[in-house]
Amino acid sequence: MSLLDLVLPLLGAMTWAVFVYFVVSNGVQTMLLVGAALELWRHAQTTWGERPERLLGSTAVPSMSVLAPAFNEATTVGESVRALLTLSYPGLEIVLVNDGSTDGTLRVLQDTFDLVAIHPAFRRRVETQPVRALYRSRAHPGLVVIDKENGGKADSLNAGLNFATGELVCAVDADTLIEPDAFLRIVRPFLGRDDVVAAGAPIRVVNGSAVRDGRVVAVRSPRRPLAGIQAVEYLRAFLFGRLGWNVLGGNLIVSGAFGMFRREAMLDAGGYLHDTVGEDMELIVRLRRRGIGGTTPSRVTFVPDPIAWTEVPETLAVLGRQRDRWQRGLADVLWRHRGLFGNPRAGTLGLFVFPYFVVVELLGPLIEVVGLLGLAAAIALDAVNVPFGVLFFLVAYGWGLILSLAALLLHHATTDDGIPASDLARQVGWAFLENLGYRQLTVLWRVRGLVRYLQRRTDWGTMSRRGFATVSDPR
Amino acid sequence: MAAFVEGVIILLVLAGLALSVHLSRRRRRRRIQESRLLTSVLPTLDRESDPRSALDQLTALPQHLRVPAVLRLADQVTGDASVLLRAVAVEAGVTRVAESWCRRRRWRFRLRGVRTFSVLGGGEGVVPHLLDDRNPAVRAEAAAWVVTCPTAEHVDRLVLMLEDVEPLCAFTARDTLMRVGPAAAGPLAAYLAKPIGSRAAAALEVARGVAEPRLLAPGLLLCGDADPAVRVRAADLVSAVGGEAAVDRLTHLLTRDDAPGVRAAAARGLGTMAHRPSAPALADAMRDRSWEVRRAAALALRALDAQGRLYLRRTLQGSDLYAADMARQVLELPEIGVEVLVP
Repeated sequence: MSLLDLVLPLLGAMTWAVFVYFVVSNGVQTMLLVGAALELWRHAQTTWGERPERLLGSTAVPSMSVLAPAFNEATTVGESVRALLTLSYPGLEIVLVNDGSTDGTLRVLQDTFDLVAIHPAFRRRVETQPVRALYRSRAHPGLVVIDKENGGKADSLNAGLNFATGELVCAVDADTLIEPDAFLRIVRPFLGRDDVVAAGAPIRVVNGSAVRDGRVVAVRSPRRPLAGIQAVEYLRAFLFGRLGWNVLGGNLIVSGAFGMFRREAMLDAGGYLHDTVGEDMELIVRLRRRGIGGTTPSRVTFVPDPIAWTEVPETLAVLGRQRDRWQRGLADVLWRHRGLFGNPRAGTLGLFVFPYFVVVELLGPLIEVVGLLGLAAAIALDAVNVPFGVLFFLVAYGWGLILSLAALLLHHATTDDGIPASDLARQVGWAFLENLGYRQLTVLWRVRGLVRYLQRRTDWGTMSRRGFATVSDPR
Repeated sequence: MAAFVEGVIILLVLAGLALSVHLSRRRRRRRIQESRLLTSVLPTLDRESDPRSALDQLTALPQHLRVPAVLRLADQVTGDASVLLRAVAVEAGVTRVAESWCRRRRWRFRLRGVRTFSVLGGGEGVVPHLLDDRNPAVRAEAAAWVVTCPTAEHVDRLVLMLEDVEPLCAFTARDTLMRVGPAAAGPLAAYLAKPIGSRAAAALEVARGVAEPRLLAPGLLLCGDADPAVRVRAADLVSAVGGEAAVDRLTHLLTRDDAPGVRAAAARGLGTMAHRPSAPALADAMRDRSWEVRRAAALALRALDAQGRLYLRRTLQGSDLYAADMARQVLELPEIGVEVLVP
């Protein structure tokens, strides 16, 4: 028996196994899609005729603080903070944490918001790098700036957490644009349930849209393919990747760009960890674990209608670094909490959600690379036939295309962006293009991230930004 | 075969996408129509104008668009215009639709009906029984509706709803009672006079928001409750109402209570009331073993202006380093940095 006689059946079996993987992962995605559609329907019924602004006159709503870490954000921080100051919520406190910036971010803040130094009298329940100074704005008393030694995003958020006075805290990135009534909407789950400790909301891609005075005034689809494909990807990820998990009770991620938490729950859990690049997911998993087997509140949910906007990378180099970092963060978090895998005490979290994240989100890129190479070799060596190869491609990519288009459908059926038909056509085009190179690149970057994680790389890389103040209204 | 199936699915999804865009555009056109309606109808909603013009424009809309249009109009008007709008809505059949919704079996229609009346007013014949609805969203919306019709019976029902198992209903009851204001004082006082234990905490929070003299007596009584959380809220209530009896009770709590949260609340309360004779007691409290109490006492002293600052400066020179540090921190706070004294 030759070596080829041994290898060919193995190759064939491996290819079938990868095929089954794609059926399972896309099957779960389809379940999430159905779950998301149900959630959206229910949400539409519950919010019919609702007036979120009614909460503005309420003295019973929980108090809220916004935590906004900033590092070298001199070009955008002024606009970002102005946008935060105009957000609607009773008695909103803004805590901006200057994480040892070296580009004059603090000077911009001092000049723009008339800051005056105050004594840093607050309880440090979570350890952080030293706080150098504390400032409050004379023009906007709800704005506090913490100036501290550089310690990273997690450290900055913890410093903000120590100072914040709100019962709820909302962690945002300094360059995230938040819709004016977003807080009035994302607070809903905390009013409706005592066991909710965190809530996430959709992040949408601002590239291509018109921004004026920190507000998105005209929603448009990005013109460039890289940003456009990411816009479709974000819609898919948030619409049913997160919303769908509401039904299955499986939200493991609340975006660091925009998420709301109960402050006491975060402090009791010890705040964000410093030594991981996936600090936002790690905190969520830790919060969820605290509820296992007991009565500690630990529910994490997703709210579909508050919107935040972010700028996505428009170059392959920056995008690659971002995806690499995200994969390293994911690997790190899943490894730290590996005790959840298959753990019946954790219920759905341990038996379904966590294994899904490990097999599909973490190892999926590897499986995909191996599968594609194996398929090519198997076809070349006649271990499988061409019709199977076509079927493989259809399941792996065609089904994914259907899910992307379905996400677009759900989005446009439930929101009123007012985008022109040409932009919709563009979005459909991006959905088709996604699987012709972009997806394969992200797979490679994620595999690279996994390798770097195994090599113990913990850097963030450099994220360059254009800033979005200069985009003019295309209308 | 698989390619064929996938192709069909893709075509269906694309067709769905086109349909959803069409629906989205229709929604957008409706919004524009509503905006135009707003612009033309709003000026007619005053006593000098003939409401028939508004009525004609509303009845010209298809039935399913009238309720949303009226709700948008209701958001823009107050006072007499609001009363006129309600009359127009009755004539246009909007309230009839909302009433029928309130009687429907499916919760989403009942919710729409109650919400319509919450915005528009009216609905006294159909909404009250929804305060006991099995669906929490409907119950909560009915609680919110009580603001438009705060009769004694409805307010009593809201006070009981403070104990609702659904957090949304309990929150809405608290919020509505605070908005109702003085009309809630009597029912709240009666409720707080009962031996309800730790359930009093939520009602005390509402009572503090109302802060009416009738609430002082139950507040003073609950300052002696076994549950520290209740005593904290009771301290907040009595400081909001004020008076000599409140001062006496707060001073007692500041000097005798064994729960630091209660002592801190007492200090806060004395600061809120700006009771200068309490300065010595507050200065003593700055040597409390609890950081929370020291801080509250220091901020309360600061609220007593010159006299309080004098005590803070004396504490600065004292032998207790923790007290001196807190005094320094508070003295260095600029006006805009002063913490809110009432939580």
